[in-house]
Amino acid sequence: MTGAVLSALLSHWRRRPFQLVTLVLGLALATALWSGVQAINAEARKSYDAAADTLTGGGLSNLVHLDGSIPHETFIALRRAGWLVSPVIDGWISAQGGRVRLLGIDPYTAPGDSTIGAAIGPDSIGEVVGAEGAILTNATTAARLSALERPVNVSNGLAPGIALADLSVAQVITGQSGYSRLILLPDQPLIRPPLESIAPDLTIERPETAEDLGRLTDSFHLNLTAFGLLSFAVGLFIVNGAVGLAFEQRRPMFRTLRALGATSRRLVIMLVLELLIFAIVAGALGIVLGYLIASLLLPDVAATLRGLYGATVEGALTLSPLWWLSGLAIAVAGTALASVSGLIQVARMPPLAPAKPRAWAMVSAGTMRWQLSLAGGAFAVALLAMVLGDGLVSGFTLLGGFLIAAALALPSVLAVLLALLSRFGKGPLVTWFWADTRQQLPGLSLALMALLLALAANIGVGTMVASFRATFTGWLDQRLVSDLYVTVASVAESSLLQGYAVENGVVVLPIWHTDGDVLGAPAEIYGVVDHPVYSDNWPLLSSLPDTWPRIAAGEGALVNEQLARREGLSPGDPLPLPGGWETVILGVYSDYGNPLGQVVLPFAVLTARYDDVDRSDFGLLTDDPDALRAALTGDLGFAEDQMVDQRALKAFSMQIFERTFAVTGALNILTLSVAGVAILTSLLTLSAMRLPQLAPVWALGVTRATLARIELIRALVLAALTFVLAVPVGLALAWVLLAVINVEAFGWRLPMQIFPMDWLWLGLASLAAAGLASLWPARQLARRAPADLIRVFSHER
Amino acid sequence: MNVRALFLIPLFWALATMAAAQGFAGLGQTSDGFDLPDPETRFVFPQDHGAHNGYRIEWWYVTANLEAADGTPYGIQWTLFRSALAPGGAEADQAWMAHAAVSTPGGHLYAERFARGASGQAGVTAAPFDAFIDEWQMVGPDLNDLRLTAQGTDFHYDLKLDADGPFILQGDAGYSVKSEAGQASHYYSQPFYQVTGTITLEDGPVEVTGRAWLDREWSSQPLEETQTGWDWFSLHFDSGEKMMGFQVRDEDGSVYTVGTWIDADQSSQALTPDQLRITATAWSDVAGRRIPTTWELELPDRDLSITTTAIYPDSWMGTLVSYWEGPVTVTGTHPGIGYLEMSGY
Amino acid sequence: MLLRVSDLTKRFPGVAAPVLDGVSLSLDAGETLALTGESGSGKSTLLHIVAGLEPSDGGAVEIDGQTLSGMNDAARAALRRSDLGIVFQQFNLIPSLSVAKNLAFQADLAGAQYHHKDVKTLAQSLGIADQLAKYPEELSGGQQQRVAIGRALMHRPKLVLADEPTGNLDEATSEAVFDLLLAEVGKTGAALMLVTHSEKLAARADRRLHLSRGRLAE
Repeated sequence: MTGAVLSALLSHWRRRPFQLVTLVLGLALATALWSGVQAINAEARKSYDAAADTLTGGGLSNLVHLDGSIPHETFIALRRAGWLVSPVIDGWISAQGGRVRLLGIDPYTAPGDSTIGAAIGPDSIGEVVGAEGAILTNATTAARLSALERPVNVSNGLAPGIALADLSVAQVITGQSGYSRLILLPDQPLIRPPLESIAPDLTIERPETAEDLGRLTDSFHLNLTAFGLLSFAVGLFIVNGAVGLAFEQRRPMFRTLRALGATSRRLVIMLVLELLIFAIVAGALGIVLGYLIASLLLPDVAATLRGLYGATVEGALTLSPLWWLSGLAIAVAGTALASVSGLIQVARMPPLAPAKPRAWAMVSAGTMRWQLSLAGGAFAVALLAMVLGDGLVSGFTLLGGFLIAAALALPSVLAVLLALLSRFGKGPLVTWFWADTRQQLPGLSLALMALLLALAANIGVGTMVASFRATFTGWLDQRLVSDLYVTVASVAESSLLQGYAVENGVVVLPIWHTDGDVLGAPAEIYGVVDHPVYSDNWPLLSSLPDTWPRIAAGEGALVNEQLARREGLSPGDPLPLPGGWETVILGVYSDYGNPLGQVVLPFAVLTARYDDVDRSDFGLLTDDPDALRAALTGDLGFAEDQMVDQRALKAFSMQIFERTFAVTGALNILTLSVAGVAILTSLLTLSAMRLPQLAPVWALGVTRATLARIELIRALVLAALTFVLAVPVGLALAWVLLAVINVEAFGWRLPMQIFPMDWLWLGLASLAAAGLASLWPARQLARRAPADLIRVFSHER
Repeated sequence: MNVRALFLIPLFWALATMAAAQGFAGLGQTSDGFDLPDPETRFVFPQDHGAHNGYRIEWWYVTANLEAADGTPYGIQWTLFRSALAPGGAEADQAWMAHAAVSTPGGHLYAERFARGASGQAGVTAAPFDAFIDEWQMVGPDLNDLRLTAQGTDFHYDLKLDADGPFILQGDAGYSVKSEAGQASHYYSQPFYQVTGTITLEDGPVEVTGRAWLDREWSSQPLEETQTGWDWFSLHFDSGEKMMGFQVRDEDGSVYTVGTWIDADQSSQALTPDQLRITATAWSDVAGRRIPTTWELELPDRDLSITTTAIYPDSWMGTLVSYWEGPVTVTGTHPGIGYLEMSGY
Repeated sequence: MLLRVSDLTKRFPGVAAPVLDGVSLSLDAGETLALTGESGSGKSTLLHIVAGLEPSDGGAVEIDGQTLSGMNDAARAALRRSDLGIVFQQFNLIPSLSVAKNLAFQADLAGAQYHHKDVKTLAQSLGIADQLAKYPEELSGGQQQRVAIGRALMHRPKLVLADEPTGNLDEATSEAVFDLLLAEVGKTGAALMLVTHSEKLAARADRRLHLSRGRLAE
C-alpha cells in the first residue's frame, strides 16, 4: 500500500513540474539566504576565537602590570621563586592592508599544549629561536608581510592577522624591552611564595575570551542574522503557497485514495515523507547556494570587519559538518512550518469530503480581522520594546514587531484602499475589476506581505546607507583637514620635515597620539595644536562656549561621540585619564567608523603628560599637495609610502564604507527577488482556481486577451498599492535603524536624510517584479483553450 | 611550544654517549666549530666544575639512594643539561634543560624545566659553586658541600650533600672513550656524598638519609649512528667499594662496555673494554615498553658476580627525552645499593 | 450470505425526515442487486454506509461475516481496499497517473498479486487496450468509466458497489458501459450492488429494490 500511495502522491508533481520547481526553489532560496548568513557569522566567530586563543594563551591566566610593561628582572625573580610564568611581548608590525598583531613569545617557558605551542613544531623551532629567527603567520598574513625584511614562515594553524616570533625578534621589531604580560602556566610546583612577596606590582588577570571582540562585532552579525531571518521568512511564504496549492489540488486524489481504502494515518505519513524528501533535496540545494552566497560575500565582510573593528577574519570559508546539518534542519523545520496546517486538514478530512477545491488561499473576512488584531499585538510589543528596553536586542524586537505588524495589517489596509478606489469606477468592466480584485486580495495577501517586507527592508536599509554615506562624506571633508599626511621614520626625518615646512611656508600639524585605557576601555589620545583649521572644520556635536580658545589655552579635552555615549559624558563633565589625572570635557565631536573611544588634548598637554607618545605622524596644509609631495620625495628623500594625500585617504575610507554596505545591498536584491517569486507562485495558484470566475465574464463577451490584460493590470495595481504602503513602513524602519540600532551597535547617531529618487527606482523595480510575475499566468489565460472555459459550465468542476 | 625539540637531537646523542669523542685522525681538531675532548686535558678545579660553553653538550648529574627512618627506600635525581645552539661559547647561544625526579613506593614523580641562555633563568658558576634553573638549585660553597633542591607539581626535596672522598676521574684521567671508533667525553664523578634532608610529597615531609653520586660530563660528538642506547650503573657496595659501569648497545647486538672500579681506600682503576659483562635477566612493562629491570653483572678479575634489581620498576622519565632512571638493590658476591639508567628502549 | 444489511437508520443534521429508516437487505455471492429511487431517496447514502465511507446511526452492516460497526477506521479502510470495488459516478481516477497505473492502482493498494499481462487482458476486455499509456484527462467520459470499472475489479473483490456508474454518460455510451460492468463483474464472480435511477438498467439485475423516503420496497 505504501508504495502505491506514495507513487500516486508523487505522480502529481510529475504532471506539474513547475509547482515542484517553485516549492523546491522557494525552500532552497530560504535555506540559502539563511545558511549563507550563518556561514559568514560562523567563519567570523571562528576567527575571533582563534585570535583570542592565540592572543591570550588559550584560556590561561596572565600576570600583568597595571601601568606598563614587566621588566625582565621581575620575570626572572618569579621563575627563581618557583612561579612558572612565560613572558609575552604584544605589539604590532605594519603590513599591507593594515597592521598585524605581533606576539613575541619565549619557546622555552611557553605552555606546551597551547595554541602558541602548537604553532611551532619540532621542524620550525630551530628557525624561530634567536634574534635572527623567522616570524610565523598563516599564509594570508604572510602575503601581507612580504615587504618585511625578515624570514616569514607559514604556519596555517594561526589565526589571521597574527604573527608569532621569538621574544628576541619581537624585541627588535617593537623596540620594547620589558614584557607585556606573563602567562601563568596551569601546573605550578608544590611550594611557591605568595606573589606579593616577589612581584607586588603584578596582578593575576583571568583569561580573556573571544567575547570582547565578539561584543564589538555582535551588532554587525546581528544585522546579518536579521537579514537572514527576514529572507528565510519571505522564502517560507513561497513554500507555504506551493505546499498549500499542492494539497488543495490533490484533494480529489486524497478523497479517492481514502475511498479506495487508504487510511488517513497512512496518507498523512506519506505526505510527511514526501515533504521530507523535498525538504532534504531543497535544503541540500539551498546549502550549496548558501555556500556560494557566503563565499561571494565573505571577502567584503572580512574587509569590513578589519576596517571597522580591526577584527581579522579569513577571506575563505571552512565549514563544519554541523553547519551543513543545521542548514538541512532549518529547511526541514521551514517546510514543517509551512505545511503543518495543510497536513492537519488532511488528517481530519473525512473520506467523503467535497472533492471540489475549497479556495484554500481565500482568507475569510474573519481571518483578516484576526490578522489585524495580531498586527495590533505585534505593534504593542514593538512599542513596549521602544519605551522599556534598551540595548540591541530590544532594538531588534522593536524592528521585528513593527515589521510583523505592518505585514499583518496589510490585507486589511489594502481592502479599505480598494473599497475606496472602487467608488471611482465607471462601467461594468471597471466595477467588475475592483470587485474581483478585492475578492482576490486574500489569496494574494501572503505574497503581498512578502513584497511589503522586502520593499520596506529595501527602503529602510537604503535610507540608512544613503544617510550614512551623505553624512560620512560630509564628515570626511571636514575631518580630513590636512592636504598631505606624512609619517616620519625617525627624529631626524621629523626635524627635516619641520625645517622644510618653516622654510617653505607650509603649515605642519603634528598628529601625535598615545594609546591608553580611558574609563576602563582602550582609547586613543591625540593632541591638537592651536590652528584655525581645527576650529573652522571640526564637527562638534555639542560643546561649551569658547571651546577652541580654551583648548589653545591648554584647558580641557574633546571626546568623540562613541566615548561620550558609552560613558554618558557631556561637555562640562570631568574626564579621568591614564596616568591618574583628570581634565574637563569641552566638547563632543562625531567620529564615524571608529570603534574606539578617542580623546583630543591640547598638544602641549599630551606631550607633557605622556612619555610614550607616537610622534611619527604629521598633517601638512598646502595648496598644491602634488608639488609638496614631489618636493618631499625629491629634496628630502622621503619614501612614497610615507605619504598619503587627502584624496587617497578619503577614497580608502569610502572604500571601507562601501564594502560595509555591499553585503546589505546584495541581501536586499535577493530578498526582493524572493518576493517576486512569491507573487508569481501565488498568481499561478490563483489562476487555476479562477477559471470559474473568469469563464462567465468570457462567456458574456470579454475576450481572453482582455481578461489577461486585466489580470496583468490587477497585479500591477496591487504591487503599486503595496509599494505606496511600504514607503512609510520603510522610513519607520530606517528611523529605527539610524536612531536606535545604530546608536546601540556603533555608538553614533546619524541624521536621517531622505532620497525619494531611490524610491522611484525601487517602485519601478517592484512594478517590474509584479509585472514579470503576472506575465506568465496572464499569457496562460490568453491562450487558454475555449473548451477549458466551457467545461466550467458543463462540469461540477 | 616545543623548545624541547631543540634538545631532541643534540641531547639524544649526548645522553646516549655520556660523552662524545673524536676519532684518532681528528685529534685536537674541532668540528662544526665546537671544542672537542682532548686526552691531554687535565682538569683544574674548581674551574672545571663550571660550564664549558665551547662544547656542545654538558651536564651536572646527581642521583641518590635514600632511606626514611622506617627503612622505606627512595631515589632522587637532579640533572642540569646545557646544550649549545651555536659554537663560540656565547651565553646567549646556550639552552638549558633540567630533570628532577623522586622514586617512591607511591610512584615515580618527575618534572622538567627549560631556559634560555643569558636570561638569568639558569646557569652555573664554579666558585662558590652554584648551578640553577628557576628555583631548582645545586649550590655550594663548593662541590663537596652542596644543598640540592628541586620540585614538581607533586614533590619537593631539599637535601644536604657532604662528600668525604676525592673526585674520581673516569676513563683515562677523565678522558672517557665511548665506542670502538673513539668517541669520548670529559668525565669525572663524586661518588662519596653522604646525604641528609627532606623529601616532601603530597602526604607530607619525609626525613631521609643516604648516599649520592655526582657525574660531570661534557663533549661535542654524538654516538656512532649504529649505537642505539645504553645501560649505566653506579653502585655502592656494602664493603665500601664502588663501581661505575656502562654498556653502549649497537643495533647489531654488540655492546661496548667500560667502567671504573673504586676501592674501599678511594683509589680507582679504569676497566678496559669488555672486562665487565652486563646481562639483562628479567623485564618489566613500563610506560608501554619492555624494560630490563633485573641485570647480572660479572667482573671475573675481581670475582664479582652480582644481580641488580630495580626497587621501583616504574621509574620512567616521561620527559621530552625519555629514559628509565631509578634506584636498585645489589645482591650476590658484592651486596649493596646503586642507581641504574637505561636509554633507547 | 455475502452482505447482510439489517434495520439501518441514518439522519442528517437539520433534516427532519430520516434518510434511511430501518432498511434491511441481503445479497449472496455472485448476485446482482439494483437499487432504484428518486433523487434524495437515500440510495447513495445506503451505498456509502455499506462501503464504510459513512457511519450509520443505527442497524448493522455485515460483509462476509464481518460487522462494519465493530471496526475502526483503519479496519474499514482495509476492508474497502481488499474486499470491495467501488465505481463512482464521477469516475474519480487519479489524474496524475496513467491509465495502466490507474487500472492497477487498487490492486497495488491492496497488495494483491497480479501479472502485468492481467492488466492488459482486463484493458482488452474493457476495450481500452490502446489507451494504457494515456492520462485520464485525455479520455472520454465513457473511457474513463471503463478504467474505473477495471480499477474496481482488478484486485478481484467480493463485492462491487456502483453509484450511478453511467450517470455522467450519454445514453448510447451508458448502455455499452453498463453491459461491460455486468459482464466483467460476472467474470469475477463478485456480487454487485448498483445504485441507479434508470429503470431500464435496473431491470437487468438479478434483483431490484426500490428505495422511497428511506424505506425499501420490492
